[in-house]
Amino acid sequence: MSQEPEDVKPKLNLNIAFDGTQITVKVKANMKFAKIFEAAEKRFGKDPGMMMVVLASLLFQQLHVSAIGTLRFTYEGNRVQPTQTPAELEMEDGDQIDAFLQQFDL
Amino acid sequence: GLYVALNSRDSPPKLKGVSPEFSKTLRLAHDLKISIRRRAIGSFFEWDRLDQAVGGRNLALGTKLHQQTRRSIARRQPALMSAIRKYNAHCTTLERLYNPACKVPLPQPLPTKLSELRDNSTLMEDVWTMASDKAPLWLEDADIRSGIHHMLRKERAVEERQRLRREAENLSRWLARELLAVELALRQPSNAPINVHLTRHRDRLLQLTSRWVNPIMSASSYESLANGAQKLASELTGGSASFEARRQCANGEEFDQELCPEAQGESLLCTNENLLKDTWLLKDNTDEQNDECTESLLLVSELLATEDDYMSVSLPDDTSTVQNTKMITLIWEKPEGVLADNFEINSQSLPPPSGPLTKSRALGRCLFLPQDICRLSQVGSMLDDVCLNGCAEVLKYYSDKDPNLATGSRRCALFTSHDLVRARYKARDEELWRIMSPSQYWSKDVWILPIHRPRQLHWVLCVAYPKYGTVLLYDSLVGRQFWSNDLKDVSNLFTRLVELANRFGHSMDLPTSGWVAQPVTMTPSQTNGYDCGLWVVAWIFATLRGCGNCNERWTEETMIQWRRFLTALIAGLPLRAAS
Repeated sequence: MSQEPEDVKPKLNLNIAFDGTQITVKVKANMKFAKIFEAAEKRFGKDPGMMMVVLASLLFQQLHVSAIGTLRFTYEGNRVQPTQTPAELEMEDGDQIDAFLQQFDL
Repeated sequence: GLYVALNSRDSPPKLKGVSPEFSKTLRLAHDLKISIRRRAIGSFFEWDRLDQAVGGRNLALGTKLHQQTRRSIARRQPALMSAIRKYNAHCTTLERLYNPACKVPLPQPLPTKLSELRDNSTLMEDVWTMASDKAPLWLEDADIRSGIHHMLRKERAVEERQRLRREAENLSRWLARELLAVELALRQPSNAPINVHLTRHRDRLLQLTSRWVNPIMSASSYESLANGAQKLASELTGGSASFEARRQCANGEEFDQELCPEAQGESLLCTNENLLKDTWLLKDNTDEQNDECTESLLLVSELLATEDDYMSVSLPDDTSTVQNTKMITLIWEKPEGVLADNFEINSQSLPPPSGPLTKSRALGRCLFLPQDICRLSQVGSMLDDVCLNGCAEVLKYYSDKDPNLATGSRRCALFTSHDLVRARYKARDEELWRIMSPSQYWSKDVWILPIHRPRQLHWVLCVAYPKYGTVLLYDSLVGRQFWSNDLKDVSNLFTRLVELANRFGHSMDLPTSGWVAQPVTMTPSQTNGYDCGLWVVAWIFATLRGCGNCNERWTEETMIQWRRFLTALIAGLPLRAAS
């Protein structure tokens, strides 16, 4: 008899695109992006093509090992911080997030 | 008469209530001071000459001249010193005899040290030999003084305006003549072999006009200038220049052939034959060979164009499959007429830091975290995508606001270093359009595309002038062999951009072939392993300022200052509101 859907927090489907592939993650609006990023990186990290890029960067550059291989995420052109949540950015169901591999120079 | 003969004032000094002794000493002091001033200034000049090389300002004097100057200083020094001492003695006498009722200001003694004398403003003051009950207004009233300053400045400003107008008129007259000459040359059938060069020269001239727009000469006056030249040339020769032929000929390897001095019809037709893959098209072409050649050329090029369009438009729901890697031809020659920027790095002109560097900064869509600012500020660290794209965007933001730079900077579409990556992995149209369309690139004259080369861990820059089909390449290490790969991707990206713009209702009448890329930097400007990103930002800034290159004073050493400038720029951005 209870009206369940009303007190359950709505979940959002966010699309994350990287390197030509797209995944959809289902998240709570108040979930920190850090968690979402981690999941996305794991998913994209399986891509052998990207692993090679990461490995190559690792070989050439010992200085920034900690930062290597991490992705950057943008929403409508703005950088998304791991500490933010979808609710803060007023994201809606089906919104698109773009991910890039970090770029270093020589 | 007597006073004139004594090289003194026209009228006798009017002094009341002073002893003759005081009056005499005052006259002496007055004359002595004039002499001291002359000697002192001479001495300053001599010292300046001796010190002209201090701090690397000027060339060193040379031993002989140096010794000569020293000797002459030593010779003149005692006279000056004794004059000053004498003057100071006069001063003390005057002070002793001083009667306040006479209202003559007392002269102040002068310092005997040269450096103090130089800074002393009383050196330039005359000794008062008149009662000063009615001091002139300019001496008392600061407003009058500033009024005089402003009047003088206004006069100079009017003069300067006249000079600038004359200069602008000269420039436009030169441009009109030059444009007319090149338009005429384009219409001479005998010039067909150098058609490509002529057209590029004309394009460069036209490019100048947008840079030369100023309050005296508006963009429309330049436009009418260009149109006038075209019209006049057409009237004089009764023909029009065949640009289509140029575009066809400038395509790919055929470019060089076109430059051979052959008969126009033959050379152009044979290049077309190379281009044609379809035999029936070829037959059509040969049938028309007997007709007037320009006409047939136009026809062929139209046919080719439509065929090109079908190749890419009929396929696609999505342009990601577009393969047009030959749109841009690389010509390894420094382009002419690339303007050097006259920008001087001056961090003082920037706003002060808005807070400690451990706080994040934000401007529009740029976000700089503490680690980004740290990376940017540290000499020897490499710029990453955030620093590079962020700095470029902030520079564009400020240039867009600056009244002097806005016209140039607003003509530019600034892409990011991630955009070419998208072309490499063949992003879907929807994604490409979503990300690229905010720049409104279809309405811009300049496309700025920073490129990251992950293999070489290197930054380079590509600046396109789509209207003119010109692409300028910037690479601080001048790696010629790497460009051909990048240019393939750039070709694909630009082709898709043009097609997407057309599809979404912003018609871009741009050819997707026959573009020419040329390197601006022919000698490496970087020997260390970390400055390439800074160079790319510097070139982007020069482009935003309407120029094509940094000036020759920018060297590897300049990059340290440039880094400091950028850091100060970012530090001055508003702090990000804590969320």
